[in-house]
Amino acid sequence: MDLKDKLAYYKSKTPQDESKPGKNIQPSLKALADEFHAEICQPLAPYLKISRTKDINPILLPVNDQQLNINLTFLDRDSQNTTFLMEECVFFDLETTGLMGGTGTFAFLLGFATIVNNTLKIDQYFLPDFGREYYLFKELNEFIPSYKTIVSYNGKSYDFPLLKSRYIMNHIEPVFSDMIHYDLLHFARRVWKDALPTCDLISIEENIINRYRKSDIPSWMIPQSYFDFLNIGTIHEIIRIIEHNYLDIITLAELTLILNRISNYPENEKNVLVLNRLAKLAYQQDSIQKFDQICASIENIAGRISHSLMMDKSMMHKRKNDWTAAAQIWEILIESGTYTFPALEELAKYYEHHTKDFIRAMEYTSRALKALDLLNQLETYNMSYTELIQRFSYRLERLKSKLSCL
Amino acid sequence: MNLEQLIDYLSKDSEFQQNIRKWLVLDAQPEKSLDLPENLHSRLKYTLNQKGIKKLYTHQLETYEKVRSGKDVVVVTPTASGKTLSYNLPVFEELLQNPESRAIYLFPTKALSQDQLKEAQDLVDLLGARIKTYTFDGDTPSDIRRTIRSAGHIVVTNPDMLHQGILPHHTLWIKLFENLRYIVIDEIHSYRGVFGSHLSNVLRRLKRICEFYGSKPQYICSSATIANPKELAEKITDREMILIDDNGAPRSKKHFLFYNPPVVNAELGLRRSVVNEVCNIVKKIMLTGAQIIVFARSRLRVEILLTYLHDLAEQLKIPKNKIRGYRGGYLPKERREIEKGLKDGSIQVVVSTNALELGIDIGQLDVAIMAGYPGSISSTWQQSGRAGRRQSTSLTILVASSAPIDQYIIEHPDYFFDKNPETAQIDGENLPILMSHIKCAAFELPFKTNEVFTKDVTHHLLDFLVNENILRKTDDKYFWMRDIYPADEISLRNTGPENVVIIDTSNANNVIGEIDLFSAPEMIHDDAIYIHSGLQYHVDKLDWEEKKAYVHRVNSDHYTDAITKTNLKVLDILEESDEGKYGYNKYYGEVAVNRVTTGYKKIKFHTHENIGMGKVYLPEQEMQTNALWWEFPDELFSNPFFKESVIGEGLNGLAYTLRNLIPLYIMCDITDISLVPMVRAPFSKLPTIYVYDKYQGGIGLTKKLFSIDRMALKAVYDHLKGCSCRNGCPSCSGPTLEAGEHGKSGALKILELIDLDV
Repeated sequence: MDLKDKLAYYKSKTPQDESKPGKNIQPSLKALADEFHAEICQPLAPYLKISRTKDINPILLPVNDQQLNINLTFLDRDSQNTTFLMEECVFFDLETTGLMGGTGTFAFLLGFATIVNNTLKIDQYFLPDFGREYYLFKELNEFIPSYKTIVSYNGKSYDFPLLKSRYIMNHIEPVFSDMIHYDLLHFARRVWKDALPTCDLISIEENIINRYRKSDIPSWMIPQSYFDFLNIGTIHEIIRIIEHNYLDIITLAELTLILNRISNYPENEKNVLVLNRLAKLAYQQDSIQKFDQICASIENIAGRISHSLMMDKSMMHKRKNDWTAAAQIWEILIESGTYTFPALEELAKYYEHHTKDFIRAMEYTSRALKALDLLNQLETYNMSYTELIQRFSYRLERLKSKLSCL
Repeated sequence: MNLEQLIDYLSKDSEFQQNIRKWLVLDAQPEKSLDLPENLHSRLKYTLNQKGIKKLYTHQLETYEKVRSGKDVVVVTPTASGKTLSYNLPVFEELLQNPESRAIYLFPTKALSQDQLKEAQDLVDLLGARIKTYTFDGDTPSDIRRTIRSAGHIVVTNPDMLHQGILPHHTLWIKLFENLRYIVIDEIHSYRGVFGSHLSNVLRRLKRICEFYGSKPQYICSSATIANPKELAEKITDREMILIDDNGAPRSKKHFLFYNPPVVNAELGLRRSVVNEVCNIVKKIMLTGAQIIVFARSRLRVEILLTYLHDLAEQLKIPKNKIRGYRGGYLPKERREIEKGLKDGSIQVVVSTNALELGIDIGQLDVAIMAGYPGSISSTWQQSGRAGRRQSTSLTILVASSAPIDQYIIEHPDYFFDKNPETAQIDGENLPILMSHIKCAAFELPFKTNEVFTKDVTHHLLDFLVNENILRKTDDKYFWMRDIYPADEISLRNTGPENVVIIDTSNANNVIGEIDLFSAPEMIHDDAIYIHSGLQYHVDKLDWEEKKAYVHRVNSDHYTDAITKTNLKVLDILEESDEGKYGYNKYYGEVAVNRVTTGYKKIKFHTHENIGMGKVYLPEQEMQTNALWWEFPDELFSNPFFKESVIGEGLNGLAYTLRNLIPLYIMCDITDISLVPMVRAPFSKLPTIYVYDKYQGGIGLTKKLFSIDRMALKAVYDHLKGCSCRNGCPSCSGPTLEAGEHGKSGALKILELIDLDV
């Protein structure tokens, strides 16, 4: 036998190379690909890439801003400069096999969106089995860093660490881990915490964007639906998950624009509960102009601002040395019976240190002590009264000695 | 009065002397030490010199050398022999030479890790090195966790935290796992039974993760004196170990008193109660101003002793807060306060469980008193080490209870001179435990098809989990396919995942404790008196479905003792040994045990009278476990003495004694094993004694007993023979009222027939 025959014999006796392209593509994956007109990537370790575009709702687009400059500084916790261009952002959201965290949680659907010419380009990657992440992650390592900013919803504490963990499990460096990342959940909470029962994405979508999902899959069903796909190849729920993720990402992009609007023009909001929180933000940032504007909006809608905001307002007047305006508010607060003690204390300070009218200062101090004494008898164990009593008593003593020196 | 004077005083106290069975004086032993190793890192050398350490004990030096040459070691160290330095030295040298290196220190308890952390930190401070040492446990705040993960050189933690908090999140610990050089396992002898079987599996998981990140850490283990430290460490770590047991630390002179309370009823073999005797002894010693630690075997005992001692304090007009209790379940703040009080002398007497036996720093006390044998010889040594830790004379008093093992020990004090016979056993192949950890391991990293977690069975288990839809096999790997976090469902300290919680309805429905499912029927059945923190609770309702027991505070004059029935069925014989030449056969195999609690007795405190009964209706508990059994052929009993009832009483007596003496050879609580004597076993119709591990799947206790059974039976014979009672007593074959007239004589006759070379 010559070598050629030997090789032919060898071939007939050796199992065929099984890593033929297409072998790993299960029928259910083909069906999914057909459903979404999607591309099956990496035939040796196939995964699905679903690409779609969606125009951004024009109502949300700011006028005269082709570049979509986003400025969320006003809503940032530490008022850090939070400005970026929409077109430099990549929006992302994962669907996973559980919420418990840890290395056994697998992200099987990775959704990303970017913006070109006011149009959202949404790319979703569906992994039809475990162990298919390697080539996708390689691809994402090229794609994500070509943008400047990552935007997510609760991604800082959940999606992002999970993705990072998956990278490490595949021995791939997550090159995007040091990129700027804005987690809009925190911004949204700062705006809607009092106005909405929960600040999850769906709640914002329904209440703020006024869009209602038809047959959205509940989150708790997602892991089992994926396991069912793996075990028996059912794709019905997977389709719903892909749609769910698709809508989440669109909402995420739209939410960015809404937050931008609120951040730039907070006084234009219509919900008093939202305006109240925004006024508080302005107060914390010592932004008098914004504060006054927002308070004006509240007065327009509700007739008056809350006592809490009045107190804030008085303190802002005080900081500006506008004592008459501040004192006026304090008197109103004392009359109203809320913020009595802070207002009495402020008035006492005002007369003691500013006008040097010690007699009046003493009047306010004694008034406070009298009321506190009564309250203290009713609630002996309330420590906050004890502390206040100490403070006012101390002041009273000091005022007495000041008076005797005159 | 100093300690020498106290000892002198006691030796002249005739009332006290009457009860002393043995007064051992263990002479001081000089230290064996050598110069600091030449090649030791210069900064370490300098620092040790500064601390006044110019030489190393021989075992410290050997540990250092073996570890630095790449060996895994287990070093046997009695209390106060410089154990910590043994492992700190090689670890710190590595960290000085290579600041990227990392080490994990594993301690069995949280309290212990706190203390060791302090010691390591002191060394770091002296070294002035940038070595970061952190404790990582349930109490670590989350912002510090982040720092520890990336910057901690030495992570001090416990197996539970490694299992639940670190391994399942290994991607957050890359720095640690990529650079892990040493794993220190302190007090490795405490990882026996269930806990040790779990730990061996946790370390298998750790090994996989280290392999994933490309590290191969060495093990440095320390152990108290037990018979098989090397074997245990090898079983737990799955590595070949070098045993370092030539201890070079000096030992001070030690007076070791074996105190047997006087017999109050010779016929029944009843002695005065340990609690009363300990109170009397404490009373004698307390007046001298000596600081005393009293060790009690259970939390309950601690509380009872404490109550009595507080009464005593009142009589003696001593402030009550000079006598304190200490045990698990006290708040950390309270514990710290007690530890401090002991150090500064404001507390004179502390009554503790073995919680204070381990290395928690409470300074030097004068006298250690054990209220009953602590259950193991190594514990006895450790507890005794609490008195006179520094190089001065110390005094230990072991007060025996009527329990057979106490009586055996008190008559055989040679154990404290000879080699310790106790072996620690684990079974890392216990199926329920193994299965739990295979799940965790698969969660952490997918299994490769050719991967070996545990020999021979890995793939059967993985395929089983695939069939159960817990794993998915694809691309030649097994992947986790559940939306749960498996480590949360497994507690390393017991086999069953389910517990019954105990709710105090008299105090805002607070949860006061938990009890595992298998023990719940006997502990917290309806109308049981459950004792917790020395307080009595009446169980109003055990809601079996909801796994909740509702209790309320009471002041009862009695406690309850459950009546439990056991059925046993042999499933498979794994080993069989023809002991025909000795007249019996022995087997080792798998059995199914069914237990049901049917009722309870009410027993009056102090007098132990039975003052009533009650019925309990609870579902039967089934357990499959491993057992050893001896079968005695009928021919053995040809002597007319052996009436059927006598055989029964003899087997009962034998089993009663054996059950109590097993802990001498196999480290366990007597509640970890059960013995069932049967005159006619359903399996063979022959007189049989079954011994089984009281854990699902078995944990290796009876397997060990199978190989040393003749030694154990011989001890039973010696003990029965040596006991001064006539027909058996609670200290040997059991109380005659329950065991019958022939418990002792029957057992002795049976043992004589099977030729134990007596």
